[in-house]
Amino acid sequence: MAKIKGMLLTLGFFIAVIIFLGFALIISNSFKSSRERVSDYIVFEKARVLDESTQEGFRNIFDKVSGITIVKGSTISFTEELPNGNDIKFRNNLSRFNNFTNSSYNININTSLSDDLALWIRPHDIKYYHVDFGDDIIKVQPRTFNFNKYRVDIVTDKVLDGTSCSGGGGSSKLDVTARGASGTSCNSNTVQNFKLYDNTDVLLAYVNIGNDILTIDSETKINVTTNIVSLNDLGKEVDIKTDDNALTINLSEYGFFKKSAIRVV
Amino acid sequence: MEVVKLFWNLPCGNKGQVFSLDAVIAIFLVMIVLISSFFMVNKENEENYELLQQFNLGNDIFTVLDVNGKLNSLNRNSIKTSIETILPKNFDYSFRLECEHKIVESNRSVSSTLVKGEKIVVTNNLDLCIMRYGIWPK
Repeated sequence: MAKIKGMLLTLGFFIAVIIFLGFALIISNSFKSSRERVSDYIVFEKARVLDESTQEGFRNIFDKVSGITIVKGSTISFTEELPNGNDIKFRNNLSRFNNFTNSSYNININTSLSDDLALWIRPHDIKYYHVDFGDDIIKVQPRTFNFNKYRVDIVTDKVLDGTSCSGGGGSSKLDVTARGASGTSCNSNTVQNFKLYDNTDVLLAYVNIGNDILTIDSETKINVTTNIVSLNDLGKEVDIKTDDNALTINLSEYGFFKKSAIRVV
Repeated sequence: MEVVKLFWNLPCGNKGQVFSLDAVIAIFLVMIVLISSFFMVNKENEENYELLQQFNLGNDIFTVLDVNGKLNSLNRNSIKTSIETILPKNFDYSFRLECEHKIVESNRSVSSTLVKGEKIVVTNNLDLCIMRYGIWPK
């Protein structure tokens, strides 16, 4: 009987010790797991901050140097000079920025995006780009025509007259207005193609729409605002972004890799 | 003394007291384990939350300064003033702004801080910099 009592007592202590050790193990694992989660979170946040600050840096360079102004709303407007004379400055600054980020982190900005400086309106998938940035052609190419129409506003320092605006072909998708020196102006609405001449009949600009693709061409210096009017509501916020392969972040020490577009607006 | 002796030498034996004592000790041990468990788990979480708070606070403050153009001057005193305007009084800070041709830093070294943040800064004059920073309770 005494032996059984002794064994029960030993068993009791044994169970108490096991419970104690079990708790110790649970606490220890909880410590470890909690600390790991915090470390993971901090690492992820570090990568996120670097990502966002790189994009912010790109936006600063774009705003200061590209010569393109974007206004975002239900209508998206891109304004720039054509031909855009900021191409070399933009390329140089982008290349410098890429070298700078590369020197400290494995963050790569695709400098070739300055070749056509394509800007995507998301989620509508409308591409605004240059045939060769710095050259004389702008194009707008929608995947589907999910907006009302194009409206192109041209400003020139030449004098316009009553025959300056020459529109042809009927299309409800394009309106063009032009303003010249000394308060002169003209416009052509619902046209398929449009030519702008000055008062000495020199061709200043050519605007055309074919297969829903808008082309604006001018070898003479003009200021052109391309309006993509009344975007359809797709239930998501509208963003203006670069190509999808613009930014590559490979922070291997954190196990973090990301390839993405850069949000411009 | 006689009474105590009598008490410990009951005719039915001492097993009642031993088991009671055993049960009390067991309950006492379990309570200690439970209380210390909760205490330690909470303490650990507090420490982690503090780290996260410092880290997020640092990110927020230096992002606000960047977005508001307060880093554009690349001037130490101007940056310090801007930080001290928005940093809660019970926190201290350090920063190091490493630009292409200039380094601006606070009195205290960033490397001594427990949790460091860093971000890329492009100023209005297109100076390219890396901002390293740390925030901790005073």
